[in-house]
Amino acid sequence: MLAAPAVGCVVAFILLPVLAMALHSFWLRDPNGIVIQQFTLTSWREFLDDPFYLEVLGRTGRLAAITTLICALVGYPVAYTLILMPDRFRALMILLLFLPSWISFVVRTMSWLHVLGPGGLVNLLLRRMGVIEEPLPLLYNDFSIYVGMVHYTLTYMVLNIYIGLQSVDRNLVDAARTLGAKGWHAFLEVTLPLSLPGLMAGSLLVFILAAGTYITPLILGGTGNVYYSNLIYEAVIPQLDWPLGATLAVVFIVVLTAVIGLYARLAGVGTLFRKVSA
Amino acid sequence: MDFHQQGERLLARYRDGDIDRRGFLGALGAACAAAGLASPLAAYAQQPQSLRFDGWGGVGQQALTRHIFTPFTERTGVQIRQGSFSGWEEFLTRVRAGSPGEYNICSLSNLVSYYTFTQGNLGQALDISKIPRFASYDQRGLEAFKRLSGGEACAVPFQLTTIGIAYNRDKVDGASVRQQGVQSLLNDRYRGRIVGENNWLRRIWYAALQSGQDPNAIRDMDAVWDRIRQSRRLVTKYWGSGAEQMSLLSNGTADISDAWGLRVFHLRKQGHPIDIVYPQGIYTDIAGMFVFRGTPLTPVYEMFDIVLREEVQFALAEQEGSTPLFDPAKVDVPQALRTTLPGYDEEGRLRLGVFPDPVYWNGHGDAWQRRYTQVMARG
Repeated sequence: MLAAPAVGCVVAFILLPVLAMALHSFWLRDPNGIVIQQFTLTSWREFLDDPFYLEVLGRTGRLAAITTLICALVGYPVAYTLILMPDRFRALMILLLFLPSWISFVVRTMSWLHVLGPGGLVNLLLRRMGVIEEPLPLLYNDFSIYVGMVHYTLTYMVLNIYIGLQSVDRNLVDAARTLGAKGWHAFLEVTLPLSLPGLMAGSLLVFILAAGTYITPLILGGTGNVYYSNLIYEAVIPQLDWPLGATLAVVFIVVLTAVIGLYARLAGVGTLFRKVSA
Repeated sequence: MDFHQQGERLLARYRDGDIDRRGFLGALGAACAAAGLASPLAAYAQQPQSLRFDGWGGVGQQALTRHIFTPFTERTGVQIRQGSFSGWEEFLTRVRAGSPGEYNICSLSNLVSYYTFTQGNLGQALDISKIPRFASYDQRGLEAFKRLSGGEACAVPFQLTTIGIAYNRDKVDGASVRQQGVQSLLNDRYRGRIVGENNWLRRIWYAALQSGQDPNAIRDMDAVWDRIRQSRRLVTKYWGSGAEQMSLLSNGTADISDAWGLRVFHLRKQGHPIDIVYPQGIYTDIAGMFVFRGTPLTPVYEMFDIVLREEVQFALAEQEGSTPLFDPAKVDVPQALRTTLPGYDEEGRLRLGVFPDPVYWNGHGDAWQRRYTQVMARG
């Protein structure tokens, strides 16, 4: 009975919309884009017959995986530094970490145009220093997409690792050192394994956010930077093909659910909840 | 029986003693009310308190507010509720998801969207005779609309949408662009400095011209896809909005692009060294205002009376760079506008390109859009 409001929310805001979308994927669409509520497998057949969709799904998975890896490599030292800081500085640093998220995501993404563009900050500085003569192609390619993606997701990774590190008992590290472990060794043998649940939870979150990204490739990507969410948009808006869009979205939900299942198998889904309750 | 006859008859009955004074006055009052409801005044009695208008937003819509909506509200008392969209397909999705009667009037920028809207039974047929000012406009736009919607028009066409090839005159040789036309967009010399619109119809249009075909009757689609792949290898970025187009041309990322004439007008106004040429066969379209089914028409005709005024169109042209589709025999566009407005050549002559055939493009839309997405993603 106590769980009823929560269950009600899950049913109303998650299950029912997903079911409605799944239902849409079996409907017919006329040439003018009007959806007719008549059962058909046309959209599913199109998805399964054309390897293009799976190809883009794979490309999106790779983008999400690389973004997650970069965030983990960049985020861990940041979170570790936060843990080592005195309390008064730590609060300020966490506030600074959150500060950019007060600005619209689109505006933040667009700000990279002025940093990475031919006349942008990076090229301007390099030219002034005499390092380059012609501007470097930093924008509208994979590089700018990864910069934008990491910028978007890094905060989530840092916070998750930070929470993971907070739960590491410092006495264990001290004990390892007392027993002869050097600083680096104590980190690898004690701190890192104990903070892994935070790293894993952060990785899962970043992977899901990165896989669903749409705006970043649109603004910072160049020719051919098409990802799965862009395909869903293309199907629903310019092509007015809601059934195909729904099919692509259902496949995406299934794939991401499978990723979460895999995570639960490897790390145990309990780590997520521990992070939440920490 | 009209109101006058009805009054005479009532008076006769009163004089003959058939009805008493109270009965006479009551019947006269009822007749007056009935006459009022049926007269032209009735339209005002039934007039809605507000109408909804959806457009492209930004400074363009602000100009419409200033020159059209504010005078309209002052004249009729009808408020205009405004919304905006970034693409007509996105707007159509919203209209379909909305309730009937929620939308009244929207900006229309092309024939294909008009065709899709009317095919979806969303339009309200207009009585053009109630918009006398339309007589001073080029009737070809109206005829094109009527052909697409069973002989009746659900929109008034009053402007041209023009596209050309824009280039930075400090970095690109204008004579070469004029000579090469659409082939300039495939010139390897500009590799990495070319940008273009990410729109399946327009990209196929240019590719058809580049492969020597009529865009409204393409015979060899393989040649078209080849040209699109070729373009994809040379282009740095396919832009998704007019604002992005302006940014790419003004911040030094691009030196040449297919471009909306209106946006180039603004770039030039801001002092950027951007010129535009309109090669043979280039895409041109008709813009206007579309009226949705269920919209009360009396205030709509009032609004169009303001929209179509010469002084309003000249003000919009001067401020926004929109090209009015006046009949040249009836309206003399000032020379100052002729030399700056999109669509006019250097001699101040309006150069109409080719209009898309919506039936043809809608017929191929599904297959071509999907193929376009794949070619753009894979090459």
